[in-house]
This record gives sequence, C-alpha cells and structure tokens, in this order.
Amino acid sequence: MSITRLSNAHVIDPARGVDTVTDLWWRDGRIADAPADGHADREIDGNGLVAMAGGIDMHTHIGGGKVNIARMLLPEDHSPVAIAHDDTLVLRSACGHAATPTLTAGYRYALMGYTTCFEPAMLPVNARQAHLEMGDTPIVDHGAYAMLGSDDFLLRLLARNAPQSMINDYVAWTLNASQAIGIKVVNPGGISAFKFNTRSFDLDDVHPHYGVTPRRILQVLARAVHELGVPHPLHVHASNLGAAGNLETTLKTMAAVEGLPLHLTHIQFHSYGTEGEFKFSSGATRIAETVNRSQNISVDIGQIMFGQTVTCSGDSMVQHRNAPMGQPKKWVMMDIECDAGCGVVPFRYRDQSYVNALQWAIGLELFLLVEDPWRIVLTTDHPNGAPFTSYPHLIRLLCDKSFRDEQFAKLHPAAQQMSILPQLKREYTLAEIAIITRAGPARLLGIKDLGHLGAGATADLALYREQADREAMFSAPAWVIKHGEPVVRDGRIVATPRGATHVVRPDFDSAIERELATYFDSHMTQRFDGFAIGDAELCEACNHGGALVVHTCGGQ
Amino acid sequence: MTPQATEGSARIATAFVCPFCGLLCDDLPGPDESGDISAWTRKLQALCPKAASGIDALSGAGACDAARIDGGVVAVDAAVAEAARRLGAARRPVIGGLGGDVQAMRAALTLGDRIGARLLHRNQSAAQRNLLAQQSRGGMTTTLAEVRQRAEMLVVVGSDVTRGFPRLFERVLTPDPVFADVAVRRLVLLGAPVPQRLPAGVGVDTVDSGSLDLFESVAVLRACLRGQPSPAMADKIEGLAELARRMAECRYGVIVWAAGDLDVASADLLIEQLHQLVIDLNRETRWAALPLAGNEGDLTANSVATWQTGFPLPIEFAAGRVGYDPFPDYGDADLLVWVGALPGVGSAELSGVSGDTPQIVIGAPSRAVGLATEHVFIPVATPGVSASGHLVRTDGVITLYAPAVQRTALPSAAAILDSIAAALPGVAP
Repeated sequence: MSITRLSNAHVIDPARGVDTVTDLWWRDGRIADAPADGHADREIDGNGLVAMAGGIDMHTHIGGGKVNIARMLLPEDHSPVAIAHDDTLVLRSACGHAATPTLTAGYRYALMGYTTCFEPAMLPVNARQAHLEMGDTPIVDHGAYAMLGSDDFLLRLLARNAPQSMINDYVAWTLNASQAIGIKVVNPGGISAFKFNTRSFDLDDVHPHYGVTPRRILQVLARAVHELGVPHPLHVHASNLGAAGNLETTLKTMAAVEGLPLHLTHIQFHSYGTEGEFKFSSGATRIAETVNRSQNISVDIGQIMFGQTVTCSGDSMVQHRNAPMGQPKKWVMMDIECDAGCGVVPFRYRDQSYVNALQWAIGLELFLLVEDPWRIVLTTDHPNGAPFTSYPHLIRLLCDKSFRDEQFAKLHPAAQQMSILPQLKREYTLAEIAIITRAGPARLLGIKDLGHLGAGATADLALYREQADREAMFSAPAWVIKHGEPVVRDGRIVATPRGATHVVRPDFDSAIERELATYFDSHMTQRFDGFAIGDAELCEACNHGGALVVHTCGGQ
Repeated sequence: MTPQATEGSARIATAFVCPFCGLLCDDLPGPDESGDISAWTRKLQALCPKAASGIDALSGAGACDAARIDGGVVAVDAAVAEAARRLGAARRPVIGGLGGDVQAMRAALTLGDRIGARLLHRNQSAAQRNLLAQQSRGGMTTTLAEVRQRAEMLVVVGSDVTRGFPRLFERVLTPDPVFADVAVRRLVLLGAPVPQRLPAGVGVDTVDSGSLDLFESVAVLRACLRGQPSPAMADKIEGLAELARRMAECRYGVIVWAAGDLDVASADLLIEQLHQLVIDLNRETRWAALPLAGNEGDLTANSVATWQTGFPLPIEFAAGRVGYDPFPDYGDADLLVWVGALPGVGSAELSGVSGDTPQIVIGAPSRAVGLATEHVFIPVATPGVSASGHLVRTDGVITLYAPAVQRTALPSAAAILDSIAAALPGVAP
C-alpha cells in the first residue's frame, strides 16, 4: 500500500465545489481521506501548483477504421515528434500531427494532463479494430460510442414499426456486443440514404428505401438510450453538417426529442446561418439561447483552429459533398457493410478564408454564450476541427479576452464584421475550465469515479504550475498522476501504464439475438457467433491485459 | 495468444475463420472431433482450394516443429537467446515476411523499434499498389456485405480474381440480394478472363476493348462518361462506350481488382485511374471500388503499422524515429528476421536482400522446408488454426477474431517476438 500527500496545492474540484489551497491524499489508485497518523510514503510539494482531476476528452477520434485511413492517406503530415522521457523508460518512436498514431496520441494526451479519452464513432462492424487501436494507445483510459442510425437492421425495424422495446433490446445488445459506453448517431439515416444515391437528407426527409425520417430515428434512439438507463444521452452528429443555414435543422433536432436527454456534438459545425454578403453567418446566438433554456441538452463544440488537419467522419454523404473543398486534393469515402460509412477529407483551415475565419469565431461565440459550463464540453472534434494538441491554445482563448481580441484582429475582415465575439467580455475561470475539460464530461458520461477529487475517486490528476499565460500553463503540467502513480513530470513521461476500457452493459431480452442470428445469415458476411467481442478478447487480446470498467445503467 | 489446451478432443473450437486468403471466410468447416487433418483437408478441398492447400501445407513433408540453431535441434529458450544475441550484433537488420495476426505485428513493431530495424511485408509489392494509389488521389471503396446486397454490376479488372480469392463470388453474388435487382445483376470482365470459380446463374459479359490496353480502356471509359470520346476512335471503342453507358445507368456498381495480379507496369497508376473512374461515376450514381487485398496478412500488417506509427509498410526505425520509405534499398541488410506464422507461398526471400544473409525464421513448421542450415528457426502456431488472433479482412474494415481450432504445443509468433525483445542485450531480465 502506498500513500501520497499533495500538500498546499490549489485544488480546483468543481464537482465538490472545492477551489482552495489544501492538502490532497491518495492511497494506491484512489483519492483518500488523510490518514489518522498523517504518514505519507510520498510527498509532493503542491506550492504554486493547481490540482485538477485528469482531463477527459469525451469526443476524440483516436481509434478505428476511418482514423487509420486518414493516417495512411497523409504520410506527409507525420513529422517526427520528440517525446521527452525518463532514461530508465523505453518509449516507442513517435510521429504525427493531425491523424495522430495511437502511440503518439497516448503520450501527448498524458503530457497535456489528459488521462481519459473516448472515441465517438465506433462502427459495430469495426469495433474490434477500434478496441485494438485504443489498446495500443498508452496511458489513457478509453472507451467508445457505438454508431447506429444508418444500419440496415435498425432501419428495417423502424420500417416495420417494431415496438420501442425491441429497439431497446437491439441498442442494448449493440452496446454489449461492441463493448461501448454510449450510442452515437451520425446524420440519422443519411449514411444509408447516400448508398441509395440521396445527396442531402434533412430532419423530415423520407428515406428512399425504408420510408423513415431522421426525426423518427433520433426519437427512437434517444428514447432507447434513456429507457435503458445508459448514463450518457444519445450522442448526436445532426443532419446537414457544415451547410449554410443548418442552424434551423439543429434547432429542430433539439426540439425533436421532446425533452429527452440529448448531447449534440461538434455543434460549431451545426450553427450556421445564411445572412450577409457570402450567405454564411453565425447562428451561435440562437443556438446558445436554445441550449441555455433546454436543460435536457448538452453540447461539445468542435472548435476549429487554423492550419492543416484531416476530417474523419462517419457522415459519408456530407463528406462527399464537401470533398471538393478539401486540401490536399485526395480523399477517401467508404460504404460499410450495410452498417455505416465513412469519409476522410483533409482540410486546411485558413484565417484568411471568410468561412473558416467565421467558423473559428462561431465556436468561440458558442463557448462564451452557453451559460451552464456543466452542459458544454471543450473539444476540437479531434482531428476534424484541429488536432487535440491545440487545447492549451484554445483554453487561453477562453480565459484571456485581450489575447482573444489579438487573434480575432487577424481574421478575414469580412468575417470580423459578421461576428459578435469582441463584444463578449466573458473570460473562463480555472474552475470553469476544470468543468468543461473533466468534471462535466465525467458527469455527462455517468462516470462516478473520474472527473473529481473526492474520496474514492480514481487518483487521476494533473498538477499545473499556476501561470498567467494559460496556454503555457496547460501545455506542460508539472505532474500527471494516473491511478495514483506519476506518469509525467515536467514535460517528461516517467511511466506508461495500460489504460482501462470503460463500458456499459444494459440488460436486454435475448430474443433479439435469435432475430439477429437469422439476419446475419441472410444479410451479412460474417457469422453472428463471432460478432460480439468477449471480455477476455477485449482485455487480453485488444488491451494488453488492461482493466475493464463496467458502469451501471439506471435500474441495474 | 497460445490456445488453451483442453483434455479430450484434438479440436478445441468449432468456429473456423480461414486465414489463408484475405476473405477470411468464417463459413467453412473446422476439423471434426477426431482432429483428423486429412479428413478436414478433403472436406475443404471440395469448398476452397486455398483453404485446403493451406491446411495441407501446415502439416506437409519437411515441416519441423522443433527449434533449430544452424541445423541442430535446440530448446525454444536457447533459440530465443541466440536470436537475441544475433540481433544485438546486427547493424542493419530487416524484419520481413510479417505474415501473422495483429498480435504478431504489434510484437514485430516493438522489436523493430528497439533494434532500429526496417520492416516490410512479403506481399508488399502487391499491397503497395493500392496504398500508393490511395495516397496519391484517394478513392471510394466498399465492403463485402454492401457488394452482396447492393451491386447490380461488378466490373472485374485485369485478372481472374478468384485465383487469389477463390470464394469471392460465392460470397458476394448470392441468389437473394436485398437491394439489388438480381435479374439485372451482371459480372463484367474488363481485360480479365472468365473466372474459374463462379456460382451458377451469374450473367457474365466480356468487354471488347479492341486493341486498347487497360490504361487506355479506363481513359476511354472516363472520356465517354464526360461525353468526350474522340470521334476518330468511335469505331474502335464501341464495347467501351457501351460499358460506360451501362455503368452510368447502374444504381450501384462495384469495380473489383486484385492488385497483386495486375500484370501491368506501374499498376498503382492504373489503380489510381480506376479510383478516379469510380469518383467520376459518383457524380450521378453510386459506384465503389473493392480493391482485394489481405492475402498472407498484408492488410493486417499494414493496418497495425499504420495505427501505431502513422505509416503503412515499408517503414524504418532509426535513432528513436520512425520513417516511411516506400522504395527501400535493403542491399546493406546483415540479418533478416522472417515472420511467417501464416503458411504463405514462397520462402524467406525479400527482393533486395542477399540470399546468403543470415536469417532468424519465426514461422509455421512448414517454413523449415528448404531452409539453409546456418539460420535460427523457431516454429510457431498459425492464427486461425493453432493459435487465436485478430486478422483484417480484404475490405479493410472487418477485423475477425480467428480462434485456434487445433491444439498445439507451439507458441504464438507474438510470444516469440516478445521473448526475443526481452532477451536483447542490455535488457534487464
């Protein structure tokens, strides 16, 4: 047993309302009360340090087929990365920028103080690969949301008006079989419609084959997730991503679920109006107003940053439409196994592009206009808006109005005319940063022992040197602790433990498996028997012996 | 991932995932309860020649299930120690072959990074044709179930793809597709012979492309789709013009090729043009490519290399850096580690590596056949047969867990590679 005391640190733990200089103790891998005898095996001097729970990225494309296509597609984007480390430690060679390789991703997340990451778009048919890739992502805990909504099996159920209970069974089986922690829907029904040569698909359009609408798909999936008691609400990549005027679709999407919990992801890409000379404007104010008054809605931003990146999305319909705007001029689309699809399009966001400049401003407007930090999460939709390594810069933009103004002044002049950003005086406090980067995501995911520093919590911590320059502060924590043990010291990796996989296991009626077995025989190209990923396979073969953490669903 | 030994039956699982081509068929029979290999091989012979010959090769004449150093039989531990010693002394090692599962590839990358090795797959020249084409211009692709349910036209380009992927058409041209109209479904051959293996009742058309080669034929198809064929060529391209018209009218079509079998110079440029043809067709209708791959585990090896390092093979580790070198020169190789857990064709030879380069062969027992004596040989289990492991299917999306169906005392390739890495000079025990 090993006891650590962190003394005199500025502990910012918004889940418990703590924002003060105090001591913090942990025993082995868990935060603990101070021992009666006051003895610690290890002392960390917390003077000048800000202590937060380890960061949690709830939407980052770190593993799975489309990310790997993106890596393969852009060898020219993989410059070598020097990862500083202890002499006693053998690290693997690292490189990469936008479509980060797994090893680099694990190292760089840890170096930034992040200790948990969630892959947001795991296709059930590609789940094995996603888990294998996450297993090769060192240090960080991980998990994934299984993608439904364009899969033939669900759309057939809807076409024949199957009861909600059967949808629930299918959703629960999917979560179990693919070892996921949540359900994601991407352009509901649209990926399937694209295979039938439909090129745009709004909320109330009717699917050419199944006769169902995106609205109905959203409603049944949101209800299924809710009724199964899955802690994380349905994770929605709404229809019409990236299209001028899509804010109307986004507002209708929020209303469509009639008060059920819903998480709208990378909402920046869904907050566009059609005003102005270029018929492209910010919808941030209207979106934020609706979010502010809708307690059932949470969002993450998907902030863009300027520079080269690559977009990897399940939304093959929209990616195909946007491919001509990509740079460099090469892109990959896939139709996938009557289950889903994907599109990989490199993008180079430029501050002298009117549209890109306004996208940047819209993301920041949303950050500053959404009032409740517990319902907004800091993301760049890595790597779609920007690589996750830009988070410290983004944090400074949120915390430092004058810095924000300096950056704003560099934008395309017409974009400056179309943004209210300079009028928004808000500066995020450190406590608010702690909410949108760890406490909030943990709560939105229903993970009770991450994202806070109360007794019993997993001892995942980031200890930052207090600095006025928040970018510098959040770039290089003095210490990062994973499960009670240091993994980073002053910009050097000192240990590379294996992260755990986080899942949920809602119950279901096994009758759905008999129906699925018949369906696999007649429709798919692999046997039903071999489809589900077993625990031993997940932990031993995919995750190098890493732990499995099962989070309870409501009612369990 | 060595299989769990169980008492009684020689068979330890019934769900056989065949590792002998990229299709990874999981609908073929495994061994029966007696574990009788020849009975199993006979059953497979009627269903798939590659599956049957694969199983046959594993137990064929000359196979050796004992570790050897320079021809002498030794304990596995001694062979591992000697392999580590020779690797520690090597200056420019190459790790080649890489026919194995995800776990073997992970271990090969870890070892390669430690010793500063170059890595490439035995099937690299074929795999690379697809990779270079995609890295140049991208493309639009599809997977087996989409082809099965949706395709109303399959255009096979350049070769008999059933040579390398025998059961392709039985798996994707089933009698009852869900979305496709089976009455109009056609298999179209462009510069390809009639496939040897084709289900009954599939309509086949051979395109008359006159004297044009495949590059010219694809260029003509693209020109016709733009409505711009040269009038001077009108009488020479009737067959292609007709094909272009039918392709444009097809609701969902698929262009199929096996990169390794394209018998043309600069095949990657032809593949690039085929992808561009698909992209052209998608302006109005839906088409996708099915670039067949995955034989001898090439997609598995390239996938793992890509997610861990950012680069597909061939790669080079040196001085804490990893680099991508699509056209490597291995003339200075002084030691070749050959990983061949899958019993593919060919022996431990890599173009550019001198035939008398010392080798460490970590392979299926059949890999010992014909091996010169001055090498280290360590026999390992085969994923999908005598070891459990993950393999990537031909479409690149589906990863299957291929369980061991036979008991064996042999370790997995991953376990041996990990042991060698742990035994390298300078590593504390």
